[in-house]
Amino acid sequence: MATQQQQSRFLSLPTELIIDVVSYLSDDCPALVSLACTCRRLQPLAEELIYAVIELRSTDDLHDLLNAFSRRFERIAAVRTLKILYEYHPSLATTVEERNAFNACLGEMKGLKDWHVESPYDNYKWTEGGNEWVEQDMESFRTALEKVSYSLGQSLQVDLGLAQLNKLILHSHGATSDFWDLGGFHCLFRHPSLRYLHVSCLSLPADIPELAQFSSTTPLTTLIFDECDIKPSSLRCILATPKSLKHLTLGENVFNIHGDRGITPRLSRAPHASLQALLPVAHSLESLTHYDPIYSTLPDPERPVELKLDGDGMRNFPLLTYLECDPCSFLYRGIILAPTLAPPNLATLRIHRPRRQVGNFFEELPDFTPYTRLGSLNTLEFVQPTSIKLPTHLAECVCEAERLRERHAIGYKLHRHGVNLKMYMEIHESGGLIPPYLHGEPTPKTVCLYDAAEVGFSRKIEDNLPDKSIVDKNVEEPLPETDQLGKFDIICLKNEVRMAIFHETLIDDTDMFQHHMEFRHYLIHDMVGED
Amino acid sequence: MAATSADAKKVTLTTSDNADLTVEREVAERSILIKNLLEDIGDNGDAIPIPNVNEAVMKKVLEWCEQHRKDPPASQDDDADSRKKSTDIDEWDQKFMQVDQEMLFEIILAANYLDIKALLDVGCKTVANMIKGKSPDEIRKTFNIQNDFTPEEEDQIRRENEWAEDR
Repeated sequence: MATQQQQSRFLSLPTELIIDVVSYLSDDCPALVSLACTCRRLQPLAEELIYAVIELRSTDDLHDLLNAFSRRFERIAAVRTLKILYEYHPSLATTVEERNAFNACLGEMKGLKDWHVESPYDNYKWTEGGNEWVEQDMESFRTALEKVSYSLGQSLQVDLGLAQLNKLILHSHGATSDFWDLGGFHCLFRHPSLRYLHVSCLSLPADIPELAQFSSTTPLTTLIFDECDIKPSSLRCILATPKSLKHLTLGENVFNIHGDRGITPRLSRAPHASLQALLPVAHSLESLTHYDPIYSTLPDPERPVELKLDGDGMRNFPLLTYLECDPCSFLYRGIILAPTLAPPNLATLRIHRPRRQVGNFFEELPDFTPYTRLGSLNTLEFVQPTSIKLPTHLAECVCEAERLRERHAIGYKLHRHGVNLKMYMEIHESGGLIPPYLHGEPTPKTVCLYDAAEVGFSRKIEDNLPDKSIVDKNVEEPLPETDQLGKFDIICLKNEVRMAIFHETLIDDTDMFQHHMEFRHYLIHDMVGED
Repeated sequence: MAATSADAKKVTLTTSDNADLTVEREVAERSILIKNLLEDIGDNGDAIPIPNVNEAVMKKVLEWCEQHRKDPPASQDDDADSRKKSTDIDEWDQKFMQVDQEMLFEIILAANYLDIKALLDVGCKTVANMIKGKSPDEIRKTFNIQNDFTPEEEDQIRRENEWAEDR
């Protein structure tokens, strides 16, 4: 029998080549499960991939998984990606024990790189057992993270679960409310390998003294706060810990403002302290985004007043090339409107309108002159939210002839200053959905509906629709530069806008056919019906 | 005798069974091992010994290299963790790989030794496709693998991994 075993040409390949072969089966679980049953040599190689990705959409698999883990411990160490996305069900409370047993395995998940957690009690169900989630599940997560994080007087534990973690997305809530306190979770900012961290509905304390000893220690490069209560003082503590943070999203609490939690914009109300908080990452920050609730507290959010800031502003942020905020943010009023304080290499400025603020960038753009003073700027983007999905309706709004001409004239002025104007529509599937967008929830789609460079500024304005001979003639002689648009240009742009929205919001093929017929109708109407 | 320019672009490889195969340098350089050797020792016209590959396998490998001589160099996608690995194989390669198992595994070993990543990938995909859709028993038969599990053990392992099957 032993000689027969040696005759398998497949098994006599060097192990790394067998692993190569098996890796091509990574998305074919039935094949891997069969392969694991063939012999002792192939079982661990196949299981290395079977257990690499575990996505728990319900608590149903917990029992089987725990059994599998207990039969062969190597399966725990094989987990690379873990998604805990239990769906809520009324008997969730009866699964606490199994959840606890599973959570205890985190300490053995030495290979875990990518971890995504969403509480099943999110979306207003925390009163149905959310306290158990907070006190038990979240506490297990915290304990496991704490064990591998930098701590004073202790050497780093590299051979424990979570020690290799690269990416963590954590959506949770408090025991009885939608916000959770940082508490002992400051270990998130002391993790020795974490590079990407996204947290939501987190309430930061005024100070985090536990982080004081860990300046410039962590490899974190991307930090996203979504709907969080961010105080400048604790933000400063947090931003002091990464060696070189590159991407930062400061999502303050814009949407979760029901009940006793009112609108509490913290950063824009304390612009100096907020800029101070950003200073620790000034040397490394490449992109910065701010979602700010302050617009709803201002008397005239359409015309925000410039903030006079002392000091250097963001002059010492040499790598910052991307900035996104709304016109009421301290970053806009204090930095963009005061160009001498702007980051010296800012290339792209994206201005979004808060979803619940009235007004429409496609109807009226802010005064363009401040942007021409930003010497390094080459792209200016406006993002307008909408919950309308009808391509034809949106196209009518976006391409109304006079507004489009005005927009293009502004685009031309900016173009003369070396800045390309782009305008986006942020289309929301459902007006009721608010950030953080949880697993399976449709995220808004951002569609470019005007790009000055694409539309261009070289054309001959014809009052009548051009026939082919004119188009051909135009090709031969250089076209004059102009900020005007002809009737035919507007019809074409309108059709392009329809198509762009339609492709982004496409649901199925019947939609496609119906819309194509509709577009033809509108296009013909535009071309012959209008004067 | 002066070598013509066409001759200058050729190299001779000596296989493990002492056969000399002369091919265009561009074709041979699909092998990173040969390419590096030629760069290191310079092209002095001497035959290059390939002690790990016999004539029959080398001919087969060179046939592949000839077909793929103009392919762009492999992209450096070092995302070993990316789980989307397609087992699609283009038509010519599929026909090329219709060989007995002995030859298939010899090609894989040669591609590995000669450092021809694209050929190694085709070989591994071919073997992976031979595993797909088969029961454990069918896999064992296909590759002449001896079952060293007891029936109870095999059943146990299947049940332990069952949770993963329907995902």
